[in-house]
Amino acid sequence: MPNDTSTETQLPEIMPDAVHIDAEGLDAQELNRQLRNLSQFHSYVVVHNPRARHNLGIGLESSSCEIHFLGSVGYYCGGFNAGANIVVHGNAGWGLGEAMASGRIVVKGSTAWAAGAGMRGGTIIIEGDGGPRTGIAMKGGDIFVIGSVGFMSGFMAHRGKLVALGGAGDALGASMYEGRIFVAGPVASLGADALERELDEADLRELSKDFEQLGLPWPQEPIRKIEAEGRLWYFDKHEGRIWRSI
Amino acid sequence: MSGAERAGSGDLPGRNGGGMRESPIWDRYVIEEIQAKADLGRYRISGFSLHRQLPRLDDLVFLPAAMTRMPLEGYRENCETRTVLGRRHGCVRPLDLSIPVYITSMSFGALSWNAKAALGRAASSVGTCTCTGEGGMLTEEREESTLLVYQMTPSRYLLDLEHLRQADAIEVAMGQGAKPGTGGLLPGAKVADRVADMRTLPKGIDQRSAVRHPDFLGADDMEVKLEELRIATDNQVPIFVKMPACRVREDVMIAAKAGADVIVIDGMEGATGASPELLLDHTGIPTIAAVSQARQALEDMGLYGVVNLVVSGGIKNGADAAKALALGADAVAIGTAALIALNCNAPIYLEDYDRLGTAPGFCHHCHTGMCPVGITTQEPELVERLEVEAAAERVENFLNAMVMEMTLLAKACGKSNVHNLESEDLRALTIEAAAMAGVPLAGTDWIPGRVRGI
Repeated sequence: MPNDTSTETQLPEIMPDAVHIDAEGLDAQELNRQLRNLSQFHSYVVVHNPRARHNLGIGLESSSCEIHFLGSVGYYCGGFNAGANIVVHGNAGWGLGEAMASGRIVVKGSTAWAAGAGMRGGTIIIEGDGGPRTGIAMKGGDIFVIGSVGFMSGFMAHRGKLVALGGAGDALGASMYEGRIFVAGPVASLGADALERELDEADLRELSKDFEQLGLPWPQEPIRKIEAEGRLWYFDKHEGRIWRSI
Repeated sequence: MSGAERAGSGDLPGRNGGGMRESPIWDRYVIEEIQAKADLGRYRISGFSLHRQLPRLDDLVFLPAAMTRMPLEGYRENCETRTVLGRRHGCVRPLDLSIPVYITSMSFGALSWNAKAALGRAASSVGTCTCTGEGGMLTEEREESTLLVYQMTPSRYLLDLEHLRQADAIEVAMGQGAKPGTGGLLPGAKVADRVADMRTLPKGIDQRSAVRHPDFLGADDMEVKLEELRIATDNQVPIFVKMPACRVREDVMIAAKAGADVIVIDGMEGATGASPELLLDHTGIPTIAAVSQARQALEDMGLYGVVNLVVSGGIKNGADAAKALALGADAVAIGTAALIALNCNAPIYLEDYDRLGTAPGFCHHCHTGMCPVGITTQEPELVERLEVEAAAERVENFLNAMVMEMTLLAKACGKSNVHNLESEDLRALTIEAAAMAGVPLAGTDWIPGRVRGI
């Protein structure tokens, strides 16, 4: 089996009973069919040579199988995930885990734009940095980013939780509904209608539990909580200045 | 001579009507609009469709068979109406419709649950499909609709694998004809419990949906996105791309290149449950212009007949539908016409129209959530007014009437299949319509904007 040796060395020990697929030579439709099938019957599936190809691990439903991509993946990896556990041993392109309903995706590297776009549930863990618009339009679930997130992260987040431990770019949390952002480190700017609120006891308990489960140290810099103020939720003539400027 | 007699007659109130002359610039509607905005402090919001005259399909006429060709017996011979959409990528279940008319995307939220259910039941009864709109897939609509197109909008309400795999087609919405360049708008009065739950929103907020998709921007991204949808559905169903009629040629080419199986073009006559009013009147191009441009774009790519073309926006009867097919559409989608068949603007519950400051025939108050006939509302006591079975029967009757009108015209033109109608069967009554539709002005062989002989 040909190997992408640059990522092979980063691998944790893969279970000996893992099933191996070489992505080379398979079209995306066929590769995904194989993943869907194999993930129903095996605990581990290892995909060699993903070579940043798009649309890997789409619409997977198994919750008992762990799928490892040995290298970087392209757009929409884990899209429409409905229960699968996916580990990317590299970076990920746009829309990682978009429209995900459940399951877990771990990215050992960084992600491009819009990780977790519109996700409704499940967990995404990004060990590097999250790109712009991380958590955009998310409807539920959790995103944890060990590094920073790019501009407009959390944009129009309806619900769900975005945690970034290495700071954030411009317009963080713009135009949210009931989404929650917890960020440590520098924030370039808050977005329209984003408001910093005090962490309460319940927040601290929730984050402590998350960090413990994920094996993350408590960040040295203080954690800030960003939510919507709600001034954009209603038409109001007294808010005319806000409406004109956004 | 009195003072009144000395003054010019135009200066005198009541004399020859001079005192009541209306300025064509500052007419009563402009005055009312300015004063309304002076009170509101924002643009006005309105439902329904635009309030201006446009070149439209009514400005075209058919040339039935006479000496050069033979008509079919209008009441005795058959005319095929079956329409199959979405075979381009060999999906397992292309959308196989009995008629070339279906119910366009209108959301639960904009419409009541029973309006959605009635539309689904009516569509199923005549062998066609309906479309979810952006509010997610409503259980009752899925149950009533034999064939249901599931719309994926930038807001991604209730979008997940479970619902994706219940769909008979996926429609990626890039906007709508009523308000191109903006997202959906659902005033707080209509964001009731169930609507809020399906959209994951706080109840009662004025929801302004996103306009850009969260995870793709350009043409190349869209190609990857459409592939993702095809993989997620295991290529079982076709992928539609819906767009407002703006830069039609370029937009159609991009969608076709990206891999759309079906392209839906929504002209500026397309209606809405709520929109900033100025977008209704001042954005997009008319349906009559959009069809021809879309067809030409596909022909230039060698994809006409490969990528299917659906046209919507102001289609109100079988004549409009037949003309759209003659200009190059494979099917038409109707929205407002179906709502009117349901009972929109019907002369019942007159006191409630009056309460809205309107009357049957004039009501465009979908945005208030106070629809007197229970269609564009979430108020339980209003919703109850629309009885599903009776409403579905009215829409079924209307769809059947539309198809009879289409086949009547097709047979008069000598066609045994409505899809054999062609632009050569049409002439335009106005120069504008001739130029936009690309058919000759009646009585001439002149198509404005085209050099003769080319």
